Amino acid sequence: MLRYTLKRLAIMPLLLWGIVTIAFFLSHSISSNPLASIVGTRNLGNADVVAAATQRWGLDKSLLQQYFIYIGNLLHGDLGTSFRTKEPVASDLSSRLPATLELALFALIIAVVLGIVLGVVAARNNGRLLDGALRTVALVGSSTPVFWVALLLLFVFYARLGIAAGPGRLSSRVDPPPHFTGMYTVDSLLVGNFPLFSDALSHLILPSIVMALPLLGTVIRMVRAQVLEEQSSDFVRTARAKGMTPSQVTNRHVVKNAITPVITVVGISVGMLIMGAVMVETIFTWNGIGTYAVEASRSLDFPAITGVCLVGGVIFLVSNLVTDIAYAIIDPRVRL
Amino acid sequence: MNPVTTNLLEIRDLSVVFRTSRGDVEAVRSASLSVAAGATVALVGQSGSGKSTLTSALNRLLAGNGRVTQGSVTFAGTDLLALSERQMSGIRGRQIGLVPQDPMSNLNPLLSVGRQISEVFTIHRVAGRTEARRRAIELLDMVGIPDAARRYGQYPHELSGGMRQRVLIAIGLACRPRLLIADEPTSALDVTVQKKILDELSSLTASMGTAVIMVTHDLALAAERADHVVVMNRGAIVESGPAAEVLKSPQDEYTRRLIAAAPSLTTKSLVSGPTEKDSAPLVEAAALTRDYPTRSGILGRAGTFRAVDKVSFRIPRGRTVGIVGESGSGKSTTARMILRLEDASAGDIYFRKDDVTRLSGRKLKSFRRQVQPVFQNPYAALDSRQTIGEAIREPLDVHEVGTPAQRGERVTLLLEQVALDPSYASRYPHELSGGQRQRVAIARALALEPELVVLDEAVSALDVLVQAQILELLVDLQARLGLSYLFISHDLAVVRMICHQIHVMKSGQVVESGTPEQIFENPQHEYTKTLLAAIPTGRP
Repeated sequence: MLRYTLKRLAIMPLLLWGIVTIAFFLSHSISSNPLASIVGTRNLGNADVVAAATQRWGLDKSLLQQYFIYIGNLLHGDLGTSFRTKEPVASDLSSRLPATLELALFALIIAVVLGIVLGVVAARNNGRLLDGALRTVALVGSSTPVFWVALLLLFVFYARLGIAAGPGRLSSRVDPPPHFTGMYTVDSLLVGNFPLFSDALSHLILPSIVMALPLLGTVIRMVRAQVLEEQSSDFVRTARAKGMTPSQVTNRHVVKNAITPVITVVGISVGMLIMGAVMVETIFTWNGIGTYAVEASRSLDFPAITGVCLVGGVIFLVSNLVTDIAYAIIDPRVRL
Repeated sequence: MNPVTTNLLEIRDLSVVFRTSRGDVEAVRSASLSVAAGATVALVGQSGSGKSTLTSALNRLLAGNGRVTQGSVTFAGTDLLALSERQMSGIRGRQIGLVPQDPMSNLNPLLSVGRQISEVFTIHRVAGRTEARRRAIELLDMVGIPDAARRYGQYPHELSGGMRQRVLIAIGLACRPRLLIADEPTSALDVTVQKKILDELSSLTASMGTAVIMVTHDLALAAERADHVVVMNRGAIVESGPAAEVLKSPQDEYTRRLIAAAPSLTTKSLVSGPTEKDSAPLVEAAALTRDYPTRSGILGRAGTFRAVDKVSFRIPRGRTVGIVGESGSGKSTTARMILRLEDASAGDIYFRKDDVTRLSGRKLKSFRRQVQPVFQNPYAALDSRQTIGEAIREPLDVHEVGTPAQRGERVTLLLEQVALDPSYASRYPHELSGGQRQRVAIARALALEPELVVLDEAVSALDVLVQAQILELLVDLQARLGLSYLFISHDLAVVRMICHQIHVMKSGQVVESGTPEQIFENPQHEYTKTLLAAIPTGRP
């Protein structure tokens, strides 16, 4: 397994280089001028300003030259400077990414834990009212538009009932914790600031539920179907013949077999969850990487676009690797 | 209660009904059966006769759509049907053990085999974790698994079929139950392994004083291993009595047919005449070899595993050549090379004058027309979304034989040839029985009027009565169409019935060749003798 992991890690730079190259040329193929966002629309008429900016940002060089400069910088860990924020892309990303990761992680925990539990409960009550109710929830969860659910939850739990926190990562007039990981819940715990932790957590709940819903629906339906299938397998009957009660059989033999295919689906979803965060981030004014990506592409901020693609690539590759390893740990037949 | 005078198990007038989409089906009809303490009773019948349902009913493990409609099951003085689910759980595994049929699917692939044994102790609270582990290792040792302590932590896929079956026996006997239900405990295994495992099973149950209900389709095996034989047909018990008596003078018509159809080493051959030496062979395989790359160790150093090692044989026109051997002997790999489904690592195969190993393009396609396969599993060999007619027609379409209308006529003719009504063309595989599906597979193989049909365990999955029909069909087709067969099987009795020439394979090599008479009456090689000795003969 170590061998396999090292091999996969070793090939990663190559894949990332491919991703960066495609992202670079694809974004530059748009026949539009990024100068508007660099110098502002008002200065576009000022030839001196434009010439200075063109030279300052290296836009006077050929595309290929720009590419090699970018790759050369990348090798030193320099992702370039954002046209729009005028900040290094690396620091932009490192301030934005943790917010999205925190959100996605919570969403993932909700979807997986709740999904497996509810899926097993639905299967155990196959054909009864509870099963029907859970299946309806799963269907609604994975088919309702995210923006609509987000607005609905905000309206009911924040505006009407006032039991959930509103948009934003923290309440107003609350200062963020010192930056360790960039995830407020983790950082606040690290400094032992529990009121801050509970404030950050309460702000996480609604957006992470919204983000989790589509995946939750998928997990519930998959686990339910898998449990039902495994329940009719031969080894389950053998386990019953040993004298196990139905719930003992489910807990010890069925669930583990039922969740193996779910691992694959969840693994693929992690990347999508993070890269698809833009809708949730916009509605909950969550200053994450999703909104950053949208702003970057709107203003043709090439370094930022390529940077986001690079981060997305890393996330996809790492989550796929983790999926494979998790699969091998659970299923002894899989040898990496 | 006095166990000496009372039977351990008493089943009275038991009926079981399954609710299906086509209405209720009565799987067991007022069956009565008793098992004395320590006795071995064999429950014999074809698939679908209700024998497994009967044992599931007594263990209260019927599938969800099945229920007992009448009768009683009394075990050691207790009415099992009246117990609550929780009480029944206390009896299963502890007083009634089960050894299921298929060692491949009856173990949880994600748990170590040791855990699957030791949990029998922990769920019945007869031992704590450490003690359960110790006892599980002891059991592994007892059922004949060497190096038991290391095997404890291994997973099912790391064990051979025979080893897994031993693990299942260990599970069944873990709590020294008073009754053990052994449902076809060895039908998935090679004959030599089967003999060893059955010997171990008998000595273990004898030493524990455990009574055994052995479910089997093999009459000879039943007679050899059981005190008492019970024959079931269509859900009803048609005959029962002491083993020797039932086999020697069966009273029931069905039992008689079953005994007559069962191939044994004394069954008459269906084919006549020795191999004609003068005719040129249709197929000639010379020093056929197949290597597989293997990887082992952390560095993954490459090695090779030789599955087939310099195998040579000829198939004369219009004759049947058999290859027998146990699983892993390389017989199926040989068949796949003859079919060109797999490339030979070395050696030549000549089909007429063509070197099969070097065929490509049009010539390969024409070769594929003349050589057709029939595989073992009639359930997996047909596409469940294709009608029978489409399945048989497909090779005709692929090779563009005749006009579409002619192809339709040909399908009808082929169905008639394998004794199926032409109306079957519009049916789907799930509507057919195993025997009927195998007929379809044969009809499909015949569609292109091949010269050679490669039959890889083609009758192994079938019940004896159906098997006898298919064998007769094959012999009849050979006589009428002049077909040549390469017949691969692990079943020596069947091979004896149908083959003109037999090759015995072991570990990739042909160890003995000859006519059926030579092989069966005067075996030369030690391995052939072991194989013959392991076949149940019906004599206890």
